[in-house]
Amino acid sequence: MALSQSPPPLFKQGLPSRLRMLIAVIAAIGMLYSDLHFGMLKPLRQGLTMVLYPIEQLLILPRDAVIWFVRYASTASDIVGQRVTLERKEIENSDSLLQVEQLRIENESLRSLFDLRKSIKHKTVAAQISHETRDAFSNRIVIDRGSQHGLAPGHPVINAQGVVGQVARVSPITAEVSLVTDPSLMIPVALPRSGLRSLASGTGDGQQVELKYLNINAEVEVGDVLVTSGLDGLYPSGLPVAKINRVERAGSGQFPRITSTPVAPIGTLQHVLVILIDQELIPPAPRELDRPIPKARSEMNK
Amino acid sequence: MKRTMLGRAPTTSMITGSIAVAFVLEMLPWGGFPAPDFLALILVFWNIFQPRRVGIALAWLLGLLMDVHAGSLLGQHALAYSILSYGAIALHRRLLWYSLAGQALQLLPLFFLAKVIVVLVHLFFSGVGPTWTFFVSPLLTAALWLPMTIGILNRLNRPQSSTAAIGR
Repeated sequence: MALSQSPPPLFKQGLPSRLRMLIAVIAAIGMLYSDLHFGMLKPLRQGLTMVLYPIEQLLILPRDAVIWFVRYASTASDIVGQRVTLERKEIENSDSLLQVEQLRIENESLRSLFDLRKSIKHKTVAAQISHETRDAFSNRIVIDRGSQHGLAPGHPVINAQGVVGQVARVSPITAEVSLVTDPSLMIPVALPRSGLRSLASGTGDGQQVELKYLNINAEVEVGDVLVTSGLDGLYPSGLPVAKINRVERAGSGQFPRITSTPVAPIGTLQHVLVILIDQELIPPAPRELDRPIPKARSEMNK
Repeated sequence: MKRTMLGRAPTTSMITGSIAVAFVLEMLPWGGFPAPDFLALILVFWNIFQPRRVGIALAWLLGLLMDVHAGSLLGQHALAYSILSYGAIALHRRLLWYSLAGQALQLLPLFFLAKVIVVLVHLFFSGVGPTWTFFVSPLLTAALWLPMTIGILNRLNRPQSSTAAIGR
């Protein structure tokens, strides 16, 4: 049996592995800092994303085939049932659509009456969810539209049920979207029933959204729906974000713990709508900020 | 106890092929499922059996690719994998004297450490901790050590003539 490796040379050993590790560690840490603070590595990341993209898409194919097959094979009764519910929904919606149209006309005339700035109508881009990222902490999904289609970090992403999240990072043909359950994403929300305003951000378990820094005596009940307040100038106001499912009253000197579940459920191959907001309104993406949010949170916990 | 060892040196195409397969497995749309870290597994394997050919530099580069794929900060996986790789190289003389199960048990803390590094980096930069399912993955990775090692060793310890007939 031959030796599985040639004997190491006696004199020329190259760098000792401890030194190599040290170099690798220093390089990695340097990379982390420059990625976080200077953004010099954007072209590198975008280049590598483009290299990985075809492979990722190829690997998603079999899964999509299965999903497509399952959908195709759903029985006729299912489809009939779906049609019935859709028709009923359409009737319900047509009523409110008419109302919306009326309200819009009324609103416009009122605004022109007050000579107010007309509310800007933003362009939108429809996209499809392609997959979740593997980063287990940040709740992010990847969609199949990118900077070529006009997307930029900060653009809100919605679907028929409500707010899905916000674009966090773009490559030319894909974009990563931070979901509302992502702890690094904060959305200014309002409670229509009580008129309270607050900030909503993910709890980190990927399931829930919590309300931050609400008054102890805040009038909040299970079942209340959080809607965007529109105060940040990013999200159009009045979009549903989450429904409150638990309220823990706080002791003195504490904030109450209020958690809610997002209204827009996320599955693969779903369609979402990206709202292209005016570039000047967009604050920097969560990760590129100089960590003010996590700092504030850790001080709160102390 | 019989020492596990390679019958003959693996070809370069075999090493790159196995790493490519691991990378593809890693890139499957796992979503939130705590999938085993296939790339770490194959890296540790070659670090142990061929430390002079698969080293820390390769681990670092593969880590960078993983960062891009996972959408995490660049350098997060590169850091974890290079330390993982160093640990494996440091272990490689001793480890081969254990049984396969013993090897998996010895490697478990190493895989765990690699995950913890990723978690700590994330905690440090964004202040958000992981959920407990995150730590299921190293257990699965270590468990996969047995079938993978048996598979690769079987392939390499087969008599030369039969593999030649297959056309490798």
